[in-house]
Amino acid sequence: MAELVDEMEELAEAVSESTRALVAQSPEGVGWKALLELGWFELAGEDPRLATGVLGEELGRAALASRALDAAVVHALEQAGAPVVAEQSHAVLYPLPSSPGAGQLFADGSAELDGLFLGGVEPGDKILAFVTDPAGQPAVVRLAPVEPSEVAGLDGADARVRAGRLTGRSAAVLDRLAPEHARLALRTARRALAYQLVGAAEECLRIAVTHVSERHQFGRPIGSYQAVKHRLADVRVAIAAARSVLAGSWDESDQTELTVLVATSLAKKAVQTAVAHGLQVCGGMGFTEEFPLAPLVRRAQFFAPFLGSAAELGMETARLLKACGTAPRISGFGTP
Amino acid sequence: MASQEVDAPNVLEWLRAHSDTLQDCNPRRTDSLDDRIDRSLEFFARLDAAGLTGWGWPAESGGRGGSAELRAELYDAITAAGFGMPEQVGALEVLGSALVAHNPGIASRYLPELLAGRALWCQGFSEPEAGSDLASLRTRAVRDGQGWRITGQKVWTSLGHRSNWCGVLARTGAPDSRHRGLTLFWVDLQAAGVDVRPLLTLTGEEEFSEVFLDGVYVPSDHMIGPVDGGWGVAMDLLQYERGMWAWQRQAIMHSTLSGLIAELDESDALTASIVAEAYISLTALRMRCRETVKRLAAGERLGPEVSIDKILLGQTEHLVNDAVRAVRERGFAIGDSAEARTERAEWFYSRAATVYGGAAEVQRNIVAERVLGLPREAARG
Repeated sequence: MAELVDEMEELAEAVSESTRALVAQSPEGVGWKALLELGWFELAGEDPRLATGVLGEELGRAALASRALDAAVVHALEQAGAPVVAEQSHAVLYPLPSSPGAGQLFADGSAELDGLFLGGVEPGDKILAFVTDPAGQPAVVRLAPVEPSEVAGLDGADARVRAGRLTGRSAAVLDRLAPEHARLALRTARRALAYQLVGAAEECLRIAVTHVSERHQFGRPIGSYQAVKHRLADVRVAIAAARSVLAGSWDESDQTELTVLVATSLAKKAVQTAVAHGLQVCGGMGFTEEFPLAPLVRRAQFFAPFLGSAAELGMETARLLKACGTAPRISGFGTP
Repeated sequence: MASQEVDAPNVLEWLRAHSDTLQDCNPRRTDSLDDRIDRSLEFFARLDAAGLTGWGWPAESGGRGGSAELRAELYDAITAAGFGMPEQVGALEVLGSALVAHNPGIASRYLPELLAGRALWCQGFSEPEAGSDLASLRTRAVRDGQGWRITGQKVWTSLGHRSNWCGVLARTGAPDSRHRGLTLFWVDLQAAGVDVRPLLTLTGEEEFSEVFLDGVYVPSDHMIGPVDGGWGVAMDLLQYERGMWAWQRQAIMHSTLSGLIAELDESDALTASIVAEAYISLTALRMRCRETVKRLAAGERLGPEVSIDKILLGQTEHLVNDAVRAVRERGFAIGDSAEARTERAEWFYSRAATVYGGAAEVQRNIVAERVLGLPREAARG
């Protein structure tokens, strides 16, 4: 047992190292090909929790552009028997903020699209899109390839995320995935996002802890003041909360959807808490562009409403609780 | 893993199957405190007769063996089957682990009677002048022949007036010895020189007591741990207070929140978001405590990071009880029913969660200084 634990820790460390190296070498972002070369999909096949967690956290810390969400979605779909192949580069079209889908599907099979790609689209990418079906239900469809020229760059909130917007009527819906695959795709994307947010929150906290330990005012480090300490302690607590539920979300359970929803809420809260307190305790320094907080704050802003704002995730949680008729006990000991 | 070592019974199944016949000893939340205690004792007696208590406690200390995870499973099962949490559980979890680790002889004598529903324990740590700053306590123990005489005053001793035994932390070193001169004693509350006076709390119940000790004799085999080693024992025990105590509280709060869901109108976005926020925090608490309980059960020694569990507990207690108030606003404000009284009492009790066992501010200092490594305040000793 102890040996197994040691081996798992060694593997986790090796994966972290190679992921960190990849992130460090990829200032323009981590594309599909880089993930294939890293062996990410094989690792995800063996240990999806480790693969998703390490990649997400490292990307989050670096506030880098990537195709990590797309890769996680396609990998999970392939494992579940949906008609996608991870060998093939895929780009996923996500809903715009405050929108239930990245487009509307009509009864004649056509679709009007308006959604976001993350991390850039390459020529020849297979396309998946989160859309709303004619009955108003969420669905995931496969679309014909999109020319990169059709995708408008979005540099507004966070240029480093390399988001692109695809707008317009498209008749080229190839097919629609099964409803359980559509749900799997959404929770997989949310969980991969949650790891990036946890990584970003950790990095904010690291920067803030370093700053308040070094910065002196009134003859002492400002981190010795309780008012400062308690803010950063709250960041540590918020991150720990998100981490624990994320870890629990990989358990065999019939409540995975709810658990991932809760984990996503907690990760969003963690990064917002980290940004709010980080900006405050880093004072005037933190307000300059050269200080390392800026890209993380922008990333947190960009992702705040992505795949559901805190308020939307809360309402979705309330609806699921109502449907359960109870407050489910996620993952206990022994018999559920 | 636990169930591989021992053949522990499925408590949840048994409780569900015997739910009807156990209702007369269900410590319901709407009962008075004294009724809850009476029923809790009877509830444990029936569980014990069915061979269901004692799992997760070492056999050599009077338990039935198996991993400590089995205890966590029991508390979840009790509340999941619709029963109130027996009143013994809090002190059992806090003191039981200390007894087992530091005085198995005492544990094997007294654990079985608690598990059989014949006794109640309490914790004598806090004093009027020593709350979060526990190391400043003044209750003194001096040697007297083969034993000790204890004199002093304890306060905020939960269920003190109904308890048989109290774990008393007393000073055996010099007055200024701080944490280095403390010893934990197992004190018989029926002994001469003990005076227990219940205190009326904001919950409307006499939930805790003042315990006055005037030269109370304690034999030397009733020490829990070595002389002047009380701080180490207390720190050991606080891991359980922050881990397993928080776990049994989350079990209770899942029942509380479940009771609200049927009444929840999801089209009322304001209330729905309050309930959702409470559930989200409660799930975080559950998952965090599960990790902690697993580590405790594996024999790991936990560090200052258990203060995170305590902070999550306090935050969640507030959110869950605020959610009850939001959903049942009118009853909470003006209701006279037993249910409304209970909800108000529980709301008040939830406010204590950021105070007992080391106030939330102290927990944040611990996380900041000992987890994050921030500089200590110069003025603090």
